[in-house]
Amino acid sequence: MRTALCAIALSVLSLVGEMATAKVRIEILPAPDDLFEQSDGAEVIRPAEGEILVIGWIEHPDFAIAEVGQMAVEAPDGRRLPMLVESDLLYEFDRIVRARVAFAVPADTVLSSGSFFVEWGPGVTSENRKVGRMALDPSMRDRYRTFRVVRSETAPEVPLSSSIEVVAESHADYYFLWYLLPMAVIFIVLTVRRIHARLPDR
Amino acid sequence: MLVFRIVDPVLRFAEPLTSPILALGMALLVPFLVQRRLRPWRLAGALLAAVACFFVAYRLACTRPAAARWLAAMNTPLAAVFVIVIMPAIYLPPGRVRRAFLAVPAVILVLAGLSVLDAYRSVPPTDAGFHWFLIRPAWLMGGVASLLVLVRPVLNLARFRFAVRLTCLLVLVYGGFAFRKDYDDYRAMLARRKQATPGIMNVSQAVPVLQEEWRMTYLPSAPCRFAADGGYVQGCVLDMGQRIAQVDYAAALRRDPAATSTLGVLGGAAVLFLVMCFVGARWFCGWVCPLSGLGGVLDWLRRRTGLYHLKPRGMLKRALMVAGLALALSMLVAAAAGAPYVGGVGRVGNYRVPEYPFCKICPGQQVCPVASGGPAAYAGLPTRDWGYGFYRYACLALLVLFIFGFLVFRRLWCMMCPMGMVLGIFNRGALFRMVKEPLKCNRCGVCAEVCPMGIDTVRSEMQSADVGTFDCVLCMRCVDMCPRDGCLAVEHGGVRVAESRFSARR
Repeated sequence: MRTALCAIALSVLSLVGEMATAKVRIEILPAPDDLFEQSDGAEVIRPAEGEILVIGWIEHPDFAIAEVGQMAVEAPDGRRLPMLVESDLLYEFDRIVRARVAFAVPADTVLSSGSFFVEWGPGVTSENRKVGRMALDPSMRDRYRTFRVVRSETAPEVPLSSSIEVVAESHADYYFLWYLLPMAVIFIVLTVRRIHARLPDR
Repeated sequence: MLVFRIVDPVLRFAEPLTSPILALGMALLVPFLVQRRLRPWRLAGALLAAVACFFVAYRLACTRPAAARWLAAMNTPLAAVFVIVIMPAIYLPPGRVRRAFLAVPAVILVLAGLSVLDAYRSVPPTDAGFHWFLIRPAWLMGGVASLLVLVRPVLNLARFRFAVRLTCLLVLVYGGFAFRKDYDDYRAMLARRKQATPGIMNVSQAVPVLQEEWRMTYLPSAPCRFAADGGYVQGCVLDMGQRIAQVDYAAALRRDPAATSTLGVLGGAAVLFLVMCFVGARWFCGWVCPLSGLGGVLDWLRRRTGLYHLKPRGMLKRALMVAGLALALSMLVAAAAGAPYVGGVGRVGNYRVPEYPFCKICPGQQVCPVASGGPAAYAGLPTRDWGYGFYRYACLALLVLFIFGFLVFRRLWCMMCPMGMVLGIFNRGALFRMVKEPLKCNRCGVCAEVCPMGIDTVRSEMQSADVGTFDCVLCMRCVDMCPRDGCLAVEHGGVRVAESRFSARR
C-alpha cells in the first residue's frame, strides 16, 4: 500500500507545471504594405462584414505549445477569439515555437482602446483552425490590421527572433553522446544474458 | 470532439510513456518482478512506482535543454503501445485479470476510430470526399495493436500470425497514402506526388508518414520507404546504416551544428531501433517484415501449384550469409566514400555513387512500389551509367534471387538479408527465447520439416533447453505443429507466449 501511495504522490508531483499558461499583451497596428504581397497557392482570407481581420506572427522566447488549440487571443471584454493558424508552423523538438495567425474582431473593438492578449500553454483551449498559406485581399486594405507583442517594461531585452548564430549555437553541443548510454546498457544486458544462456541447464 | 478535449491533455501528460528508455526498463523489470511471484497489488504498486519515478526523472531532465532534445529525438508512440497494450497482454496471468484488461485495448480501438472521424471534421466542405484514413500515428499504432490483442483469444496461432502479417503489410506498404496524419499531411502528400520525377534514382521525394526533421523511426524489418508515397516508417536498418555512414564525423568533432544535429537524429533512431531489436529480435522477420510478407505470396502460389519446396543446405546458407554481409558492407563503404553529405550523390573517381547505394540494388525498391502502387509505379532498373552498370545488374540479380528464393526455397532471401543478420544477434540473450523440453521430444522431425528457414537444431538438440538460433525468425510454426504437448515453447522475458498443444488442435 505504501508503494502505491508513493507512486500516486510521485505522479502528482510530475503533474506540477503541466497546466501552466503564459499571457502577453499585443498591440494592434495598421497593416504594412508587404502584408499584401501575393504568393502562389495562397488562400485569400477576407474579413466578414463589420469585422476587421488581424493577422500576424506569434513569436516570443517562451512560446512553445504542443498543438494549435493551446493558444488563444483574449479580447478586451475577456472573450477568447478563435484563430486561423497557418499550417506552415515552425517546430522545435515537437513544440510549435512560431505561428502565423489571424483572428477577426468587430471593427469598433479594434478602434476603441483596450488590451488584447495572446495566451498559450497546456491549460489553454481554443477552437483554432489550421489553414494553408494565408494571403490578404489588397482591395480591402483598410479592413486588415497586424499585431505585435508588447514588451513588458520590466522584462529584460531578449530578441524575439533568434539569429542564425543563436540557432547554430543551441545545436552545437555533444548531446548525441548521451545515446551511447542506453546503447551501452542494451549491449551489456545482451552480453550478460547470452553468457548466462550458454551455461548448462540445471 | 469533446472526448479528445479530455484525452489529448492526458496524452500530453503521458509523453514520457513514449520514451524507449521506459520501454526497455519495463521490458527488463516486468519479467524480473513476474518471476518473483509477487502478489498482484504489490506488483502493480511496484510498477506504478517505477513509472512514476521515471516520469519525475524525465520531467526533471527536460528542464535541461540538451537533455530534452536527446530524449525527444527517441520518443515514439510505439514505445507507449508496447508498455500499455502489448506487455500486459503478454505478462498478465490468464484469467479474470487478463479478461478485464481487454477493456483497455477496446477503449483505445474506439478512440482510434473516433480520431479518424475527428480528423475528417477538419476537411473543408469544398474538399469533402474519401481521403483514406486520416489518423495520427499514436492512434494508428494503438488501434492496430489493440485490434490484434483483442482477436488473439479467438484465433489459433497460425491464423493469428496471418492476421499480424497482413496488418503489418497493409500499414507498412500502403501506409504512405492510406494512413496520413491529418488532412494537411494528406494534401502535402498529394502535392509531392505531382512533383515527383519518375525513375529508380529519383523516388526519394516521397516522405514516409513517420518522417520528421528531427526524428526518424526505423522498424527492425524491411519496410521499404520507396513504397508508394514513402510508406509508413523511415525504412530498414540499411537506410539508417547508410545515413550513419554518410555523416561527416570530422565536422561533428568540430562541433559543426549541421553534423551534430544529424548525428543526434540518427543516434535517437539507433537507440529506438536497438530497443526494438532487444524486445523483438527476429520475431520482426517472421511476423512484421513486409518484404517477407510479399515473398509469402510467392510461397503461397507455389503451394497452390502443389510443387514441393527445396531445402537449403548448410553450405548454401553460409554462402548466402557471407554474400549478404559482403554486399551490405561494401554498399555502406560506397555510401560513406561517395556521398558528400547525408543524402547526397557523390563520386569516387569516375564511379557515380547514388544517394543510397544499397537501396538501389535491394529487391525491396523493385517490389514494394509495384505492390503498393500497381505496375504503373514500377520505376525500372538503374541505367548503365551508375557504377559502370553494377547497380543495374546487381539489382536484376538480387530481384531474381528474391523471387526464386521465395518461390522455390521459401525463405532463401531471409538468409542473406542484412537486416535479418542484425536481428539475429538478438535471437539469444534478448527477451525472446525458443525452448524445448528434450525429455518430451521423440525427434519426429516435424519441426525441421515445417521450418521455413530449414533449421534442424530444434530437432537435433537433446541436451540444452535453449534451442534458439541465429537464423530462427520466430514464426513459431514448429511450436504450432509439434505433436508433443509442451515439448516446444517460445518465451518472452521468461513467460510462455506460445506452447505446442497438439492435443488441443485435434
